[in-house]
Amino acid sequence: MRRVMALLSAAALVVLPGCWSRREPKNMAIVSSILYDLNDDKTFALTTELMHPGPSAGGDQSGELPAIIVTSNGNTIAETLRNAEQTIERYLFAAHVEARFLSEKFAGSDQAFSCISDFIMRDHIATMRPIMMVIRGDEPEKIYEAELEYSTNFGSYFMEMVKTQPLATSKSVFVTHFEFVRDFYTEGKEPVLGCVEIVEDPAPSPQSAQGEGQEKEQKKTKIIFEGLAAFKQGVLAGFMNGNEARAYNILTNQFSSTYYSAASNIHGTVVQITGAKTKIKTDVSGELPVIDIAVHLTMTLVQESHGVDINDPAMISAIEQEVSEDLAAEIRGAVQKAQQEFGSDIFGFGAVIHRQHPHAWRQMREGWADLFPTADVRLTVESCLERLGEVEEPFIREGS
Amino acid sequence: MLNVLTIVTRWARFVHAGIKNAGRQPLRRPIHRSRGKIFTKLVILKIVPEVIVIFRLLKRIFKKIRPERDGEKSETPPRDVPSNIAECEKAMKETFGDSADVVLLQIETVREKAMLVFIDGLVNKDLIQRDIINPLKDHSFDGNVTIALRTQFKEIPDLNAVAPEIVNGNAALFYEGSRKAFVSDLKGWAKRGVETPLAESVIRGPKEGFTEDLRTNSALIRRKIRNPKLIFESLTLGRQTQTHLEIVYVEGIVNRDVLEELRRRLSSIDIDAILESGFIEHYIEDNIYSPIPGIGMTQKPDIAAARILDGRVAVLCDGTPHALTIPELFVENLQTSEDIYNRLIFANFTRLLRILGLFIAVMLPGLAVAFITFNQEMLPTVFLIKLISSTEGTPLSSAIEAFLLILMFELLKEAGTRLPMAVGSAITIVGSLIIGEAAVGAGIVSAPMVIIIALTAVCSFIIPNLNEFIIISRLFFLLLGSTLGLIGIGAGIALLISYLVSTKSFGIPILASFSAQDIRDSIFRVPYKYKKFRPTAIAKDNVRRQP
Repeated sequence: MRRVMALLSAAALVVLPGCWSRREPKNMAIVSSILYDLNDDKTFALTTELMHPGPSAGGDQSGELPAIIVTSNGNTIAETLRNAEQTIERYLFAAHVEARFLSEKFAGSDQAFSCISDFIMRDHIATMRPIMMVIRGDEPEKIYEAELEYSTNFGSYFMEMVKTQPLATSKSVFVTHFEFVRDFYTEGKEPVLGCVEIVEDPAPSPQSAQGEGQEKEQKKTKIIFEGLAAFKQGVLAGFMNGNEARAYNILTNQFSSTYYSAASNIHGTVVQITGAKTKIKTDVSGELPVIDIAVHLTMTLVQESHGVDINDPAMISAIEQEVSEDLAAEIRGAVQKAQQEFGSDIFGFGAVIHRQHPHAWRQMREGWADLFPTADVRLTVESCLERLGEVEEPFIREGS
Repeated sequence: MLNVLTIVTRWARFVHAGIKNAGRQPLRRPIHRSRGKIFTKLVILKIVPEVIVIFRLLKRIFKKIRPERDGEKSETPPRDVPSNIAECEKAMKETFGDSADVVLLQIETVREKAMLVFIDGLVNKDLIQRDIINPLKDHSFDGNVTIALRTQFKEIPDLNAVAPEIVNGNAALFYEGSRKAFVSDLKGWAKRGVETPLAESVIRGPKEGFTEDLRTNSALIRRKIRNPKLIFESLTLGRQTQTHLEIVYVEGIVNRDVLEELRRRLSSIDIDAILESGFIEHYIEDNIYSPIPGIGMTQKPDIAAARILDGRVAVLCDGTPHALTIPELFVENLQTSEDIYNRLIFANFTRLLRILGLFIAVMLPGLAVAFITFNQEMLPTVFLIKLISSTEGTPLSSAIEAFLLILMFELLKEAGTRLPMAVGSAITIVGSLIIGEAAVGAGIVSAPMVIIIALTAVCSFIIPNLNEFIIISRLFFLLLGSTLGLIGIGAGIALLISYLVSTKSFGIPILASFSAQDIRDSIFRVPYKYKKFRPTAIAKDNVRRQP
């Protein structure tokens, strides 16, 4: 008897806490990205992009089909999602979302942050892993009409883009939902999001007829990942352009690589900045907080067509000097924009003070939003040209 | 019995009174409760305990019905060998009936008559002619048989004791007036030579295998362990077959407790036929319902010798090339003789590979179904997309697909093992190529599931000894994975581990070899130089292998 009871209770222990929601993958619609928008009457508008894996039965690899775009409206996020499900014969499965896009209108409203974050954090399937981005402009839904180059759906396009963009230009930021929420709760740091611009393709390349004469639909818009959206108290405060976003990346030690040519000689000297290390020191003894930023850049020479002798150490230090000064101006501009225009401490100087002077921070904490624009930011940039490339002489025709 | 009767009568009386009283006042006391409540209380308080009591009684009764052992084993009284040859012949014919293979050879000598009895096919006729018949037929024969016979013999005065000797392949000589039988060992019968066993093939290491002949097998072991302390303990089992068994161990190394327990269990066997060591295996196993083999089995003398030197006991059975080794620890299934013969790093690699193979063979289908139908968020997106695109349009759910494919694989395997080699390859082609390819092509099963089951099948061939265990636990995990997801798999692992930990073979826990001391030769194989001790789980005395 005791044995039977033990077996029964063991079986109950095994069975009862289980997750009983069995779903066959073939009945699932995988959401790859969601666009949150706000209608004029303040209701939510959701554009959901569903991946559409083509059937591969029969052995032919027909591959993925273009994604399915579903638009729905509703008073709350949950209701809007349910409305979207009304027209789809599969479950919406949101665990594999790659990107959450916010329209400028949505990011600018004070509901934005609290609504989606709360809903997503409570949900057991949706995660904080996707990257959140703000779409500039009035027609955010056009992002799904843009040219996707190699990819067939936006989700996989975005997935690859996230990997390659930081290495290519460093002019964009990619912030996950989790990082956004973390920055939001961090004292002395305001969150930023990446931003996307949809531009008209200036010269749409003539699409050659594909394979069996199926002409791909001509798309006239392109997506550009550049700049960032600064937030203040969870509400969009303004945008920064690509160069300022690069400064942001350098200041927050998220920089990976960029090509850079000093402003004065556009056609001559180009360097690749391969690394940047930023150290911030703060001083709170004075009336206003002093923030000392020291940036150290490492560079590689990628082009030098002026014909100067780059074996001369003086020339190298001249190049270094020029790049340092230019970048310092750029960074200073970005900091000023954050101080003057946004009044939002996106670089996290407050958090540095918090770390370095915890006692002083206790007095500053409340008034930091007012104190930050007045903070005295001092910047020193030094750079080091580490490699000169594979050749020593410039490529110049004889006699020219 | 009486107890049951009283219960039944009391119960009947109670029910009867209830029916009689229906609609009238209640029988015993005024009850103001509803009938439903009374009924529930009745069921709980009366019926349940009584049902339990009845079950216990039935159990006790059935235990008693079990048949007593009949006294067939009782000794027959000795009977003197008659002095007259004619009477001897009559007695022999009485014993053997008119069996065609029994030869009663009348021999006329210069003195008295003699008769030779043996079984055709079990003796070496050339030797009989040379050593028994020729001397007796000789002119110089003076009537003294003991001197004339040119072979070893024993004199048996009991006629009833002669027949078993003859059956064993000895030749019995009766001589007029001697009143005893001269039994000489001139065995010689057709037997298979020492060959390489098909099942446990190795690339490196001895290739010889046991044969069906017990004496050959014992010699094979003796040649590996040339130690006078190597003991072959003989016993005969099977009322009809009179099969010879030998318990093999090295005195001083063997685990005494295991040996005693084995002797006790063997002595309790009373069966009429033992044709293969599998018969005894079922009798002496700890738990015949367990999917894990409790007794090791090998066809190779080097493996048997190695296990005997670990402190184990081996049982050889006449008529089968399969030797049993006791106790069997779980890790033995993961070891091969080549682990020791091969170079260290590669041997460790293959052993880890085998452990991995065990995990895949047991858990992969269950784990895969759990991931596919419950925890899709844990799959990489690209993988999930591929999965969806290949399951699109298939009619069955993933769990059913997995069950069907496993079933199909087992059917193919069963068909393949019973067939001769030439036809076996046809099965493989039909099974793998036609059925597999066509089923995927027609969209009846999805390709990923075929891949998963195929991988599982490959892995289950890595550890052939554990085949039964692997199949059963694979189905168990598949069931859990397809109903409860990853939580089910977790619960299954917990249950499986607790089951394995609590399982014993001859009093030794089968997972004992994963202890800190014995891990040197379970998960890893350390260089032989550093393997200073025999497995501490088994060997109790003389534990040290080398200084």
